[in-house]
Amino acid sequence: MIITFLSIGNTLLCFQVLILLAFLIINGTYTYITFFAFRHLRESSEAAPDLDRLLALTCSANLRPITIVIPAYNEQVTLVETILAATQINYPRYEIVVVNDGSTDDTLKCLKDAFGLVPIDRPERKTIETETVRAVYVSERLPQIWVIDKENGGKADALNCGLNYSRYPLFCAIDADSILDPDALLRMGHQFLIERNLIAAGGSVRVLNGCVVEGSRVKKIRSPRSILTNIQIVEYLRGFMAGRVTLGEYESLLIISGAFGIFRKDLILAVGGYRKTVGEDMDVVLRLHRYCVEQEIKYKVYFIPEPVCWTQVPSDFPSLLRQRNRWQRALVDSIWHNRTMLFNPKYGRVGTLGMPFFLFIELFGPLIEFVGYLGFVLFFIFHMLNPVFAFLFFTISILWGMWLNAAAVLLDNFVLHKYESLFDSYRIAILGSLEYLGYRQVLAVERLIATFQVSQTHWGHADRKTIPGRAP
Amino acid sequence: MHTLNMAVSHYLTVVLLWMVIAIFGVSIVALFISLGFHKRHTLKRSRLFQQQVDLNERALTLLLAGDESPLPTVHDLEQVSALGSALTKKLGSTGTADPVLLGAIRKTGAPAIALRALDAQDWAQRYRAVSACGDLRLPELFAPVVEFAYAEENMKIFGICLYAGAHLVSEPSQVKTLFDLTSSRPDLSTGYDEGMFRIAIQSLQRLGIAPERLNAALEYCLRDNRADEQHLLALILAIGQEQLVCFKDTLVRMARLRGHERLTAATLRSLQSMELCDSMIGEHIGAANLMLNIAAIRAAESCGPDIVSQVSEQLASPDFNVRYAAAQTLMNMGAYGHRALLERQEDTRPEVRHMAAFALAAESR
Repeated sequence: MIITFLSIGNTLLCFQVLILLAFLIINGTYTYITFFAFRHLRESSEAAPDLDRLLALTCSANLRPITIVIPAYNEQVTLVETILAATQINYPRYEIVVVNDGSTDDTLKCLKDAFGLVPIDRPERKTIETETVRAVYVSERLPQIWVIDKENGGKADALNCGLNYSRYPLFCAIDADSILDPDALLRMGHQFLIERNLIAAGGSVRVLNGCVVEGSRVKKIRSPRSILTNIQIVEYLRGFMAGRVTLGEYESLLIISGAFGIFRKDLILAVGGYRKTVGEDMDVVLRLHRYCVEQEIKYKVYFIPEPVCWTQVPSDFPSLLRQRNRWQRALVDSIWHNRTMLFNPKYGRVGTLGMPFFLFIELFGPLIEFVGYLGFVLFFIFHMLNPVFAFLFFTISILWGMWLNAAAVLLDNFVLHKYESLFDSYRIAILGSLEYLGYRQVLAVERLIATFQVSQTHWGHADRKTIPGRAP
Repeated sequence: MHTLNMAVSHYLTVVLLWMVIAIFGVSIVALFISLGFHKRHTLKRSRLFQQQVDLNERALTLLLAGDESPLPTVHDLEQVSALGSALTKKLGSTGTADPVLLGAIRKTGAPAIALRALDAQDWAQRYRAVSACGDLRLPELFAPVVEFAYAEENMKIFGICLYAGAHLVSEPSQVKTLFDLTSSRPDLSTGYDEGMFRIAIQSLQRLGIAPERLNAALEYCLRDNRADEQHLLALILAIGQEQLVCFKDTLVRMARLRGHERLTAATLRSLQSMELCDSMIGEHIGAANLMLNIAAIRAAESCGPDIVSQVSEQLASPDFNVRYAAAQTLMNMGAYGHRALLERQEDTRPEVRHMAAFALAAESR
């Protein structure tokens, strides 16, 4: 059919058909992912092991100890709270290594005051080259807390430094503005205990904004009033509850969020640690896949929805734009650096399914969307737009998006940490649907710009807010 | 757009698009309604489940007080799970069901329903059925659960089978059966079975079975050459955690016989858990293998003054983790350890002085 159109030289029609096809493929893929995740989560929710059973089976000295690494750069507002939450987790053996990445604010002073840090002569096992370490501290009150004070080198460098200092075989990276659920590590550690071949696992990252926090724990899961935050909640639900669940089940999980993931340390060291890039979290997972395939190591990478890490999302538009700009650059950079895996059957489903998904749906998706909007405007200007058809098409695209959003909110009901009030769920679904009225369009433009800024490696400034429910 | 209209009938397209819109509109409304229904259903289900648990708990209280009224009859897996939860709540995870109670549980019809559910297509149903079997504590369910586990491919369900099986253990020889079951799954990861062994040992102890009677079963497991080293490690650690001190000599003998470093380290950890001293500890302090060295240093806590100098020497180890372990052990060794730390504070090597000072400071706090 396309050939016929081309033969009559109607490039305009061809353009329309291509955009329409892309729209159908992208939304169709998301719809399939939602249905798949629905089936999977419904089954899993019935069999989610309760905590008593987990504790009975995992009170083991064999439960692999974990090093939690928290890289921090100018995080004086939230870091103490994050560490306090990390000290309250249920896990037999773990240490917390905070890497102060040359902060220029009072981050180190806050840590010294809060935890009574004392310097200790702990030499660095320099497996990976990093910026110079100025001092190592250990907490007087909580000896599992170590603080490494180093010259600024970026997040990847801080994580590598944490790797050098970690003592335990499992390595967990969390963000400095996140709150780890007390049972999160136990649920993750349990999977590492069952599956001998598990090399990396990611947990859910959920939005902290709006929730009630007491004693460094999330007590009530609530939705915030802000439209912007509710839209992001829907995005997180779509991304984690639908996208990662399905990709994980298809053995094509390419990203474990930097905000919460656990890795086998020996393998991260084997791939040379984190690469200095804005998307170090996706990059390291891709390199782990590549390494294991090339070394013929049997391996598994899981997404586990039950363990949760709560994180703050940007509450203003400029911060959000900076974040999405960084994510897009990270995506482009990671795919480019690991392009040998793309469409390569040697890498199994990662090469033939996961990488193409991220390339066409996640990377090109917003670009196609932008071209669609542009075409829409141009056709309108040149009076080439059939208003009825345009209106109907636009309505369908919004309704399809709303359907995906409502389905994502429904998926949330199948997991342990859900929005309990129906009002909150409706609010998220309804306010989240407002993303089609400007939000998506602006982000599509920002992501398009970001695609061409891939050489920039800066993170952009992030405004931190105090953890909700806590005094500043 | 104009050209497209030439290809496809304008009206047909519009009608088709309106139909799509209608379908989406209806399905969004349906999703919103089902969201509400689902939340309500989940709430109702959990409330109902809780009511059933409470009902069973009340009946169990009466039964345990000597009342002869039967437990409520169950009709589906949900009710079996509620009965299981009530039993766990009432007896705790370590409580024992007496013969009268076991008889009452049998009369509810729960065992038959749970066993039937093991054949379910849905893996979540199978998972719940196995959990319920474990919670019911009926010894006759042990064999079907183990048989089911051998045929189950899903690792999550296999794991819960180990948990249920351990809860249902009523004879020492069944520990051997569980050991064979774990050995049949090479993909089972390190240490998952340690919890299982511990629960099994606890189950036997609750039934008043003396640890010595476990001897034959444990000897069989420890001597099984086919067994994966991981499962042996788990068993050794479980023996330590459950303080079966009568097995100390067996463990040490086996570790010496096999000479595997990981088994030796597990034995040292087991000795540490049992707070027992053995010449084996001193032999491995300063071992080239860091894991062994640290395990031996930590196990030295329970030993007397003779070993202090050996631990103290490790403060000069080139490895920080060894120095740190030695400092912590000396801190926990009482007056002898304290004296050694004071002496080491005067050492010529700065790293030794530093670690001794750090330990003394921590001790004073």
